[in-house]
Amino acid sequence: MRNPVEAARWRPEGAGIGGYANIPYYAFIDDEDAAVHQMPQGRSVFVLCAKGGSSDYVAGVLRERGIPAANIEGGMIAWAQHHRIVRVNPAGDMFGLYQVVRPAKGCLSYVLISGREALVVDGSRYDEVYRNFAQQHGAQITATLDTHLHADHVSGGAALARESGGVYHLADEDAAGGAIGHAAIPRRFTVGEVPVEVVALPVPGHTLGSTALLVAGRYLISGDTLLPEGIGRPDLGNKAREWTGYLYDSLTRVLARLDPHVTVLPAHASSSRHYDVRGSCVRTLGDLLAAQEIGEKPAFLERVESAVSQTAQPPEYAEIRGVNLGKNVSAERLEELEIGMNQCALAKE
Amino acid sequence: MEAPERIDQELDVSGLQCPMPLAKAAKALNAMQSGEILKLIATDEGSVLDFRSWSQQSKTGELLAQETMTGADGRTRYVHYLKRR
Repeated sequence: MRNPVEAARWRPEGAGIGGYANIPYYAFIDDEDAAVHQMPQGRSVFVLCAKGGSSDYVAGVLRERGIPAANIEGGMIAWAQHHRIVRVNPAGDMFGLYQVVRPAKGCLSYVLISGREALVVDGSRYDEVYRNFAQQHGAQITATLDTHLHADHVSGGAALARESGGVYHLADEDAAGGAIGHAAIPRRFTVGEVPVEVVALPVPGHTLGSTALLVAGRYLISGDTLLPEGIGRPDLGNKAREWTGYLYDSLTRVLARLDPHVTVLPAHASSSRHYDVRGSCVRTLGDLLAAQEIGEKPAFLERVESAVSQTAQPPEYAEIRGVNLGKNVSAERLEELEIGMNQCALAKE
Repeated sequence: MEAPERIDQELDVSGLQCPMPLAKAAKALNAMQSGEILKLIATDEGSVLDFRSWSQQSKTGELLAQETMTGADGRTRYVHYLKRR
């Protein structure tokens, strides 16, 4: 029910959606008969708009006309805020590792809970999601961490740490020039009374400070370095050639030396196809690396350079980085900045 | 385009959310004569894009101009000048 400009920019997607058409709500105001005539016959519909007001109105019109219609309350704004939480590790483990999926943006964040302590990695700005979840598990958020300075979405890491009395970790290289009150990422640390070991692996390339976390030796929270669709684009610092070289070394000298059976937990999915039946997105390190066909360095540099030249940086990304380094913007502007699916991956094909 | 000099009717829908600014405008325009001009004042930011797209396909009205100004309460007002087709 949205105007065509906005509908083209961002639409919901998912396995359960059997069809999609955009008829602006004002078509129903201007000429109700003509608009109703455009509706598919004999099918029930869900009606969606930006905030839920216009779709409520249209759903009412449709029901009066005998078309089974339900309004999606809250509209695209509510979709943007929706998070689902899926456990990653077996229930029998002494700790819990959870993937927090924000499907509208394709953002994946993580909560590691051991005893009464929780670590949040790459948390979104909807900090109540994480606070409530930790609370339900009787845990306190003692630390938050961003695997890198995000450009596609506003981070909740610093605010969440502040509110919970915890520490916000970000690599110094990525925090440079900002004022967010971060602490560097320790090379090795533990979470909880039954200590779960976390090893931080510097993997520069997508950003200079990009860091992957190896949790309990079995799970690799990979940030944007390795994604289901490809590798994290190395051009956001406008030094693509140099950073692609770092990325190559990170992939071949750091990640390729880990056990290929390690489970990769990336920072993004970019399509509903990337989720499994449980609604989570996990991969195996060996499979992801093999799919990349990394090869020799000169050919890799050339291939990435060519892909980068065909993939423009979204204009909002510079401003989002600024916000994540402490710049203040209005709540409305935050919502605008976060519209649409992330574009962090450089697709293999 | 600049705001028209002659205004035949003025309607303030401040505080109302989508779809009300457009619904109220359409209702007012329907009661007006062809060629008459409605000045509509809204606080809903979404109305800016919506009136532009609506104008391209509406048989009821046409968007002539848009302005923003700050209201007495400090909130931004989006002003739309609409002509009855």
